[in-house]
Amino acid sequence: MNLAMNRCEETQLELTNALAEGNLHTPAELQAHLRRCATCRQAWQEMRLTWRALGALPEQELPAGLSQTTRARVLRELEREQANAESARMGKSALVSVTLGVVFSVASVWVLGQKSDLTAFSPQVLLSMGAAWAALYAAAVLLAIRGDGEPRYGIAARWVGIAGLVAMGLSLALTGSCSIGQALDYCKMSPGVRHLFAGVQSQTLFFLLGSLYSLVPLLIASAIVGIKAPRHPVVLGLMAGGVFVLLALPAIILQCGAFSVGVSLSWIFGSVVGSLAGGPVGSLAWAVLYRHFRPVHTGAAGTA
Amino acid sequence: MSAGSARNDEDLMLAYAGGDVGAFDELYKRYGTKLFNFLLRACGDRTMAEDLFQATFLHLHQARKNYEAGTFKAFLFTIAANLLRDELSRAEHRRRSITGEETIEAIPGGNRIADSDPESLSEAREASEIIEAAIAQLPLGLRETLLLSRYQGLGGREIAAALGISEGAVKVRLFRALAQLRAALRAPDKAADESGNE
Repeated sequence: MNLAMNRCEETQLELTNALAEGNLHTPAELQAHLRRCATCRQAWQEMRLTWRALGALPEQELPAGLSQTTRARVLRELEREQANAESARMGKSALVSVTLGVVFSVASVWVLGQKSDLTAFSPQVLLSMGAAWAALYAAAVLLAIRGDGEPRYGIAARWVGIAGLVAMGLSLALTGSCSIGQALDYCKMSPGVRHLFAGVQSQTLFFLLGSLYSLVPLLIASAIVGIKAPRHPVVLGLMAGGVFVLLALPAIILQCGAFSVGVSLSWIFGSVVGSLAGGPVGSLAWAVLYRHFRPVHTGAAGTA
Repeated sequence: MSAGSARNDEDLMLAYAGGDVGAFDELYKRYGTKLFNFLLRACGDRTMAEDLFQATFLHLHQARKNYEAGTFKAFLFTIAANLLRDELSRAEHRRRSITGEETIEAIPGGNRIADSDPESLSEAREASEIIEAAIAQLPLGLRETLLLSRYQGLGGREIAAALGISEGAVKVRLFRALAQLRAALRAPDKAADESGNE
């Protein structure tokens, strides 16, 4: 009797789970038992009816007030967390920017110190200049780190910051190799080129060299905005040139310690012209080259 | 059609964990009513169900970054089942501390069976409130197993994970739940027969 009961219970347990899993193809062994056992047949019939009746229960509507309140609470939490995360990210970015700004500023002053006489400036002035330069570097680094990953209106601020910094690096490397003072001496003293600059005023020479020393780094560095953000190359190139001018300004001022105001202004003016020409011309050229070569590649891939 | 409606629950949950509000909205749309009905039937108290509903979604929000694998549905209902058991346990503790004894739970539709004639009983058997009452009479473990299986379509493994029991225990609970429901639904027949014989 007990054995029979256990068998029935086992059968009904398997049948229940077959019902729950939606598997109505019961094994032959269970079917054989069902054919023999009227109790299990009755139970199986009731199980199916009960299961169906359960499925027919109407679903209660989610109260609109509850739905709105819950959604609003979750979204509020999400916004709060995102604001906290954003402020933490911003704090980290600011720390990195300030640190790099100080490092870049010290490195830049050191490079200039190798080529120019900075003793014309008092330590206080040098320190103030270094601090201002660090702030400018920090702002450019922050732009490079936190600039829009997904640019709005096609303005990829990140690449503008990076291009400005790279151009400044190249400019310092150029100055480290051959400062404008050395270039000027070469123009005036070298037997080969001396006659070319014989009648040229110093201010004009400083303007030309200042332009050249900005133009060359920007023509190279603007490849970054031309390739990475090719939608508005001229605008982005101008912006990269603007960032570079700001970063280069302390360098020009520090190198102009021994020169007259007129010469200094010529140099600054030349630098501005070189930057605002080199940025857009370079980024436009790189963007055109990039567009020119890219379709050949994708076209080949597309036809393959 | 929104972009979210084409994505499966698990992708939506991962997107939500990454801060995608649209993904949360889609999951909320898919599971809000289901969760509410589960809680309502499982606890039998509308106010408690509403509180648990909010708590479940807030817990889901807090736990969203821990979501790694498995179905979203199982993840959500695991949270709901845990909160439900904690809340019912607290409510039971409160009730006992106030009354000092057990009370018989009022079952909706319970009186109707005794007061009605056999014909209306036959109709009442089909009525949802009797089935709801029968579900409410089930012990919590059987009730939540049945609800997760029948209304949320969770498989044995998912229910086992949600309730912290073995798959074998899920099978047994389901069998017992259905057996008790059958017995409860058979009872009106007996009551009708008895009233007819008198």
